[in-house]
Amino acid sequence: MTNINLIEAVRSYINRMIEDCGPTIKGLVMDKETASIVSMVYAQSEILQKEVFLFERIDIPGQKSLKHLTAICFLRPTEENIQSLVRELHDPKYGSYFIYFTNFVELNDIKSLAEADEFECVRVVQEYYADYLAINPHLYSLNIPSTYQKNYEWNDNLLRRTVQGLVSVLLALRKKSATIRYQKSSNMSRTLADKLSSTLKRQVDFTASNPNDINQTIVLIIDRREDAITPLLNQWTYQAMVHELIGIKNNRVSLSHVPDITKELEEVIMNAEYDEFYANNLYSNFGEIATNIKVLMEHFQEKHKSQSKIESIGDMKTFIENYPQFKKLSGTVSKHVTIVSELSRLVGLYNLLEVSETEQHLVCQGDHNDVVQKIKRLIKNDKVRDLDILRLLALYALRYERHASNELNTLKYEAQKHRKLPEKYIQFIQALLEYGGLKFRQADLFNTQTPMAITRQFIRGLRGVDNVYAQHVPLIKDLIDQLLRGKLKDTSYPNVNAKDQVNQQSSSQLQGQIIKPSEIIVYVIGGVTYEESYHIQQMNKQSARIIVGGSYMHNFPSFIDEVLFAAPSSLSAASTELLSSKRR
Amino acid sequence: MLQAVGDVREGFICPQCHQDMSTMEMLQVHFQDIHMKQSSSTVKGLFSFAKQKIKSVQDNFTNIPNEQTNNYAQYFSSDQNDSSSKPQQIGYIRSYTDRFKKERKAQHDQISIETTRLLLRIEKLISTGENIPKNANTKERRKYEQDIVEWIDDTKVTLCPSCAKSFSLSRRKHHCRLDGFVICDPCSRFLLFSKARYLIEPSTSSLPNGLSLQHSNSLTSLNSTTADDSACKDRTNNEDYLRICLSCQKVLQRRYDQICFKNTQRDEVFVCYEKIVEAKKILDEIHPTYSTMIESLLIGDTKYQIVDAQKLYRQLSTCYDKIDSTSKYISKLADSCLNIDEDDTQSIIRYSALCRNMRMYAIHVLQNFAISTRRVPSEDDVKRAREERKRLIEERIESERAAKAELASRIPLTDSPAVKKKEVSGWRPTIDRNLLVQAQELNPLVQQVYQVTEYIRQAQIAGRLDEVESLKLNLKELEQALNNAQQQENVSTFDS
Repeated sequence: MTNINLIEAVRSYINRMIEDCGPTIKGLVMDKETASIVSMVYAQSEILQKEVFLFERIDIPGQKSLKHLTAICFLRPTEENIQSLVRELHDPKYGSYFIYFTNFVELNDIKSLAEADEFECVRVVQEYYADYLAINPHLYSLNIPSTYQKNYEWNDNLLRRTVQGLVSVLLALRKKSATIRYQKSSNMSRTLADKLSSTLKRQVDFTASNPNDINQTIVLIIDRREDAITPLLNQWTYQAMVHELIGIKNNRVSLSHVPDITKELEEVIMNAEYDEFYANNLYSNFGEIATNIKVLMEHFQEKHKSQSKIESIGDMKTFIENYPQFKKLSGTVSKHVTIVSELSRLVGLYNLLEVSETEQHLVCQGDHNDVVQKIKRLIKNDKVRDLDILRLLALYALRYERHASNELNTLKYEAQKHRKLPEKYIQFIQALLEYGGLKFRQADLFNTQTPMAITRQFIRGLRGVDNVYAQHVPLIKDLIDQLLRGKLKDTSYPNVNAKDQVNQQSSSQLQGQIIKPSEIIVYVIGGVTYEESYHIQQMNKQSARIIVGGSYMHNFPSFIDEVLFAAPSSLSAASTELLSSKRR
Repeated sequence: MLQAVGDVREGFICPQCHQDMSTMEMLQVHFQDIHMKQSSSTVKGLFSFAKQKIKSVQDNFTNIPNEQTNNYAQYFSSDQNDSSSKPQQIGYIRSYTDRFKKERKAQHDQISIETTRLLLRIEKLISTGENIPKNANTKERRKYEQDIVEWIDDTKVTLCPSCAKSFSLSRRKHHCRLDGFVICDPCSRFLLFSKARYLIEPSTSSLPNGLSLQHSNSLTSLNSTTADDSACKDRTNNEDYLRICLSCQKVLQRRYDQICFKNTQRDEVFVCYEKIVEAKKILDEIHPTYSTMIESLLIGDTKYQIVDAQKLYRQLSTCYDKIDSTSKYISKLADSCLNIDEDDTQSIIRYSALCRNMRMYAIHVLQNFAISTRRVPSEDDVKRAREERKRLIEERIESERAAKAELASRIPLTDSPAVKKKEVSGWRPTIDRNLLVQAQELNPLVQQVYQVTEYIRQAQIAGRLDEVESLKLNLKELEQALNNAQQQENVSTFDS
């Protein structure tokens, strides 16, 4: 059923580009962003098989020309790129140019390119809408580490980039139009929704004839500030855990800090497209991975034994035939064994099981006194990292923001007494309350406000917590569930186009009659987490058709930075200093 | 209230009163409102109640979410023409190529008109007929030039149009020989006749002064007075030249660059790479034939001989070696980096990356072939395979015979003589004489039909299925022929 695949969409664009050039020697010219877009879905060795022998950046000038190469220019339509291209065409390094822009390009730019093309070496100018990082088939990111400007407003460039990203996701999946719903409480999400809607309408070539099409795509725009707790939690599924504890950047994982690491494993690529084990275990929990990695190792050892036993020519032949797979397998094994053992080392070293249990307890059950005691105990535990104490304090601050006997200050004091928390951390707690505290938040994150929510919470509690470390269910899943059941309130998540006719009657009628979407595309301003990706994947496994993405793939450290960066100036005077020193 | 809700699904049954609820939420509300309040009103009581009932509740609630979440498909509109089987289509594409080319054409037409005009004038100016005055003969030469290009009246021009300095005794007025405009000396450029000739006919004339194209990608360096030394040398060199203005120079420079762009020599790498591509093409062609050949040899088929396979194998390995050696050579080129300045590190990196990647590509191609190419089997292997096959065939024949015998023995005795015969010399249809006699008066075609029908029957009994098939085909043809004949007969009777 699910035939929407973000990775496949980008891959087919790239395939088409390469095919269009025909069987010549090709060079792929990219900019910084498109280079990551390509690297997310294609291994260099795979592109090499299609006679693409050079990979270049448009922003690196001044090289000797090779006129017998064909250039595939895969670029974002930014001003700098257009200028670089104009320069390039005045003095071409390649014999011919196939130019592909990832998004809408201005007619003026086409004109200036045409004027620059004195040597008539441009063959093709097209728009291929691969303007997002495809992380998993259902997960994308725009790789914007800090979306929020001061006072949580858009910056024009980022707004444009975000609209472009969303438009390209739609067009890459062959969706011309969409019903856009946004979180009303967030100005940013309203602005984005309006801009997205007007951009889609302006593109005459792609506007669908019938806006009341039954086969609707719903775009749901949410602000991260509505759910600030998900990025605070420790994670226990493979992909999420690696990102949380080590960090994944464009499918690359740096292991250079791991003790006794060998040179070739200092940086490994974790791409589910090329790594079967990873693909199978992205969403396995820590316990399952341990089991699976054992199986993998046994399989490897078996192979290894048979490989090393070469007695006859026949054995030799099978050895040579199997060697490439064997080598691949051995690479996979050593990579995953290293990562899993590193994860388990960190879990033990930092006492993460206990920390995580407390986090989940705090979020999902939360008997106040119990929680305070647990946090106090963990503060005194030297094994626990400062970072994890910060998680707990931040969660506590959000959870009991208006609690009668809020003990945040006591806890902060305790923490300061027992360990020297960096100044940045203390500021973070304050900034986080600004970011996602009750002042802004509408959703009942902790299920404490309505009797219904309390019941739901209670039932979840009774369900027998099959995994104490994964009790938390991100808000996003609830929202989508409500949306699917037609229960997502138009008052809090209005439809962009229905905004003009705020007729109570019609909106309630609309609510009664649920239009089934063909798929849902979620965008989270301020970034998504792998936990959310995991939950969406679980829904997709049950025939849901949901795509989720955000400005960035956050883990706790990157989330701290973003929250501090966005903090109102009164708070951030000191923190920006710290940030800038950290970001270099 | 409950009845009002249509679309009741299984699974939302209250664990207490077994009432059917339609949704998770309703069940929760129901459970909370009715049952929880019944037993206690305090939270503490609620928990103790919960503990009592935990088993039944847990069972139900762990089931419910499963069932509820089992399928989200109901919430999504399904595609009418179920595209699940189809692979995902490529996303939307918008092409600006036509627009781009139109813009480019508009831009270039203008320039090319200009260029052609200048080139035509140059051609006249530099032609060396007998009655055309040389540069040395200033007066006549000037007249000749003015005949071709009308010079503008310089009396009204007081400032040089390119440097905007006023003309004076020391800054004298000059005319561009190509468009007749006035310029000052420092703003003039000088086009050597030899260069001009090259511009007009790049293919026939080669550049003089031993300057290769790569090094002189600027006309100006040769004909500009700003680059004093070279130009002065040229002027004193006694070679004829044309004084031209900057704008004409720009147009000509462009033409020159375009010629250079088209005539760039191919780097050695590309020549080598072409060899690889060629060899690979041959490999791709031969390989499937070779594979089937080996396949057939190994199952003991006699269609191909070992010699054939060996011949192909030699061909394959020549290609193989060629790819290997050429790509090795290319990877060596990566280190030498001919034609690249040593301090141009960017270009060196680029060039060697190119070479390395070509080698990697070649290695990959070779690996693929190495894995999928089997060696030619030895004589013994083939002999053994053939014997094996022979044995197998014999065995099969044997077993078929046995089967036939068994079948035959079950067939009613009327056919027994025929069956006996079969056992001796394989299967052969026999003709029932009685039938033939009966059919004697009949049309020969009809006779045939009867015969074939009889054959089919016999063949069926003998289990010769393929024979039956072909006979049936015959029968059909015969019937058709019979029909036609009868129709014709009818027609003819009609006529008479």
